[in-house]
Amino acid sequence: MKVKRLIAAFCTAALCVTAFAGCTREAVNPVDEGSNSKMQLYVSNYEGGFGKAWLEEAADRFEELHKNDTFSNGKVGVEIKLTSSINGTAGSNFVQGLGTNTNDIFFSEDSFYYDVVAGGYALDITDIVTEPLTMYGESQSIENKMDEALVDFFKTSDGKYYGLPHYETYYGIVYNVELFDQKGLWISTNGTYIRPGEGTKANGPDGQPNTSDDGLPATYDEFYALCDYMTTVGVTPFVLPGKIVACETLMMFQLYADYEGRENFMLNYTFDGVATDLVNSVGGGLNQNGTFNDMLPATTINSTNGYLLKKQAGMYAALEFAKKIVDHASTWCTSGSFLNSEDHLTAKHTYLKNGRATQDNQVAFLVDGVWWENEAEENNIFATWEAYGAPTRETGKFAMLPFPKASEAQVGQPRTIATNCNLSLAFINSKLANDPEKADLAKEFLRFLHTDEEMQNFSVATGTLKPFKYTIPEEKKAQMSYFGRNVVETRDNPNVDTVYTFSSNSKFLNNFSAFYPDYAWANHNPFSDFKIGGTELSTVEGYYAFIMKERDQAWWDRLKG
Amino acid sequence: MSVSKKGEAIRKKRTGELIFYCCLIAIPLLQYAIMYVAVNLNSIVLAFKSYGVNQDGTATVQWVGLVNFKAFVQEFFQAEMLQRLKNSLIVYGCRLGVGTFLALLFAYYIFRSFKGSQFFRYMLMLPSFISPVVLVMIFTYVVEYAIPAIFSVRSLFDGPPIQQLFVVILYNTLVGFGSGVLMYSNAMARIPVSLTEYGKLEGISPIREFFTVVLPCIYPTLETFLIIGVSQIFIDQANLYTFFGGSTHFSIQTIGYWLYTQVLDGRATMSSYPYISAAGLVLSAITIPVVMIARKFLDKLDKEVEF
Repeated sequence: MKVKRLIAAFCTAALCVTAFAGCTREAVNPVDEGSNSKMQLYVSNYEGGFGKAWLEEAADRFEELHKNDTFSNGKVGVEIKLTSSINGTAGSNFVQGLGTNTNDIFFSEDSFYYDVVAGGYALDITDIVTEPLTMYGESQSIENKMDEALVDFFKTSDGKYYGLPHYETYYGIVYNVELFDQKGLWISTNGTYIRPGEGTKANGPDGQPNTSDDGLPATYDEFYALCDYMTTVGVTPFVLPGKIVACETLMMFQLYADYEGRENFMLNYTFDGVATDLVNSVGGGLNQNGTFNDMLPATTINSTNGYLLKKQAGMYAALEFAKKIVDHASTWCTSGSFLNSEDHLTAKHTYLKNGRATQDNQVAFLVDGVWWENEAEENNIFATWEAYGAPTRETGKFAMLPFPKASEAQVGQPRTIATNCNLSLAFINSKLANDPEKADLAKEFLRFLHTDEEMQNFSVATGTLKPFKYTIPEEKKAQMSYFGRNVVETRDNPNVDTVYTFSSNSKFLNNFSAFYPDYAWANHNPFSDFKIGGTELSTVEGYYAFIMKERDQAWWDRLKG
Repeated sequence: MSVSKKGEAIRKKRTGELIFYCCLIAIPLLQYAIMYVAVNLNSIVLAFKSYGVNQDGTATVQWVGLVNFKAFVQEFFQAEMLQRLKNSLIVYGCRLGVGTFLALLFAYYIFRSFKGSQFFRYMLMLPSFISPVVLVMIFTYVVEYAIPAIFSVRSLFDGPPIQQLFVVILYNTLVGFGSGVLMYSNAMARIPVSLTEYGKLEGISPIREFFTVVLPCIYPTLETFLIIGVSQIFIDQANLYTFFGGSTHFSIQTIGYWLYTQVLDGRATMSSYPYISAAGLVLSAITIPVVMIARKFLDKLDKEVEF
């Protein structure tokens, strides 16, 4: 009997424990009243890669700023309550549940702004977006700090704002600067691989001397050669998050954007302009000029023929790049790079532990987003491997690799970064329209968060940027990690063009998911297809044929708008 | 007590019972009305509509007749959807052919109290206590690290799509085993001892007992599970989402997975829901007659054993 009870107790405990396996560390019920003496704002924050530290710190400063404010119900001071969870504040399910959501302010991700607005879930915040932030000593308004593509998207045709983009994101290839130093992986002007001080670094993809990309591969061929060289000096070039193949696809998307440049790339959102590098076929692959042999003449794109953009050469250049990596996976990638157990977090573990806590080679490149360091920090990944000599966020020297160009002919062209801000969205619950005092306070909090100083604090806390124009003073940059400074300096670099992939084009608005970055290759993940092989999608030519079939005029005509 | 007073007391008692009954039944009825009728009604209506957003932040909802249905039917005959259909049928076939058959055999093993039957009864149920997310994680590590380390082979997931699909089916069979065995062994436990003892006295072999005595006796339970299985062909995502998230390669996707991700995917927008609603209705329209035919067929096999 006792044994049975014991087994029953064990099973019950196991059930209870595992039931919470997918939950995050915090999920405060928004109906929890907390302190009744202060005016409370419930803030629902998506705790993905950007975590919550930035918000907790900002909330402390806001509470301090308003500690003596009095409110009509006799309350004094403000209390910001976080009601965060990963799944509860992102995605279409979050948007569909907004009708019953009782939080006051949201910082979400993967939320389609126009569904939120059309559903009547967001409060009109036009006043705080368009009025100058004079009370914080600034002459500009939040709107003034926004890129024109963001204004075009977030400002409705009747001039109203209901939300703001929350953070600036993009995927890429993270590289370990220290490893480049130690192993002598920098490319010199005479094409050899050197350590610092052993020669002059080559100009890198920007083609200019004495810039941050010096010594990095300037072309795809140089990149491939570097990967081969790494394998000879005990370095594994890549760790890929095999389970989340979309990460690799999103990295390819950046390569595609970098190839195309602003004018051509933004056609994918505005459908208004002239496409100058459409292919007619991709047989023979990239030529010496970094284009394909069979190109179409410059073609005017409008809302009737947007499907032609699926012929942009950059899509197929990125495919060639991906194919090369997959074809060399056995030597260029860690053993777990294509395993289902290697997700975005375990890939970070591998990046830091390999060659330190294990006998494997150290890894040079991690495919991830700009938030990777913050995510690693908040998930204790740096702390886990610190004892084995792995770099920490503070001591490490990581940077986002400027993509090499397709050929020598393109070296020197501006670096283009595309960001859809992970469809992040900051907005206020429209239910606050019934509580003007609280609505004003929520607006004030949002306004406060968009002052230059607070956006700088956000950058210091997360090591990333908000999608607004602001500069970060040197003393604050000094508080950031090497990688964080690299992200900031990249945007400040005049040779880097950050493109916000938004527009108010009706076709774009009404088929939003069709234009999501990792759906660019007809909803397929090329890394998977190349790895699996044996289908028409195992070659670049096959991919081209497939995309032409799937994304033809009929597909375009089926899209709404 | 007079007759009228007695009658009044009975009436009062019955009124009280009626009120109690109404209170008891009101909540499930309300839940049925909201969660089944209202929600599905909304989905059905949505299938005939088009949802679009305007630059001023408003939405335009229009009746579009059968446009969404036509679009889905067109897509249904595209190569990728046919592949999903094929995979759905493979998953169903394996569940039926392997999962159900093995569950019946093990249930019979337990029913006959063969060696270690109690141990198996508990052991097979144990995985059901663990969250599917955790189980999938454990299974993934087994097929990607443990098996390759022990047998010096590549990860079982590192192979052609059909291999990956069968690894997923293997998992589904293993985890579905416990509940299947429990259900069937409980059904078998109801078989009168006198019936089985009579068989023993007649000297029938276990195999004959299984097919001629046990199966007919538990047929209603088996039939129920078989019919439920048929009805789930198009909604069974076979834990693919738990294994691969949204990145499942199309060649191993099932229709259930496709439907699941179309709705759950963070990228879905309001404008995509009418099409998905229409897809759901078309799939229901296919499923309903299949289920009815299956039921009729299975009913004919029922020997209507009563005990």
